Amino acid sequence: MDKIGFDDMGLAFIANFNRQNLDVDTIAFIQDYDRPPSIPRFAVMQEKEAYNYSGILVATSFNSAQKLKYMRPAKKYFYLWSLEWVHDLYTVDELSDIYQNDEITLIVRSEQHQNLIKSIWDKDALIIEDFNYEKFIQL
Amino acid sequence: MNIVFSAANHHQIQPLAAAFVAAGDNVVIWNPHKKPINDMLDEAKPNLLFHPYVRKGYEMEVDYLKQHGCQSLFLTNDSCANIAQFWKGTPNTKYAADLLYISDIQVTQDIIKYLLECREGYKLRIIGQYPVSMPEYVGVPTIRNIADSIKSCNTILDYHGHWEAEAYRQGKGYYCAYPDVKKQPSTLTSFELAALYLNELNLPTTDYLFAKQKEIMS
Repeated sequence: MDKIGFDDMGLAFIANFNRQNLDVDTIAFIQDYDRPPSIPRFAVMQEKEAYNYSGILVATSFNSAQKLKYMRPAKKYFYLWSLEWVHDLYTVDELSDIYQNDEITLIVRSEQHQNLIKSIWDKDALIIEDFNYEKFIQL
Repeated sequence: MNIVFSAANHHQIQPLAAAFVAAGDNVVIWNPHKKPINDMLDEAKPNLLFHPYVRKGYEMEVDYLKQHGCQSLFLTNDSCANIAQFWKGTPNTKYAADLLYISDIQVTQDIIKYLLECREGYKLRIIGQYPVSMPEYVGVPTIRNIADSIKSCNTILDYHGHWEAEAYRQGKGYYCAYPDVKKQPSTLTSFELAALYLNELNLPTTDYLFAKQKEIMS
């Protein structure tokens, strides 16, 4: 993650993952520190530690997905909180490298986004609404 | 002959400059923002100066150049040797689309409306240096991306007729917002375009340009 901040993504993440008895170990690898909505009850580490991580890694932004490309976890996922390529300027190769990467499985928040990803990037995406914890632990 | 091109990064300048270099002319790329016109005239002593587009105050510049023995030529999109044809391109399944729009002019409301109308029921892909606020816009392409995208699509959407020649050359469908604005499809290569400009100036026919083209393309 870029950060766990006081925004809609940070709120959803904390709400779902800040439960007392988490069934699986959760670690948030963050690039920048920001004031989270509440104190995280899971491990928070610097992003550079993720390069040694061998579990399941989920990127939550295009910036973190670009780094995910060079990491070696058991599985790679990219959780598309928003359609970032519409708002920021990237090159064709940069976007194609991530969204059409065979090693990275895309996860979206709605069926509408899923249809859009299929139409634009010709890729199937999983649907998990707003960091739903039960669905995440099934990955 | 001494030839000067202003604006090195314009997509029409590069193949044209390459054609003149291959033909043996002295070619200089001049950045008007970094070097004053007097310095350029002293150093390069040009016979011809190509401008990629008309800009404000160009009349004074053209007169000044004429006084110093340099003729000005303005490249227009009407005789554009599209850069994509220079690079051929290869089909790529990742770039496959029913409709391709290359955003090479400033995006306006009319263009957005045109694209929204065209995309109904089709897979639209938009690339280009001018971002379009639609999810189908997938980034700024390199020249090779453009060539590969054209090879991988079925139909090219156009707004001002810039890509008509390339659609014709690649055997792709073509749909233009303003079809009556233009012309017969131009299939000029860069070498042919260079020869055309030289012929316009009543210079000897440049057969050697065609011979050079044949040599390089074979």
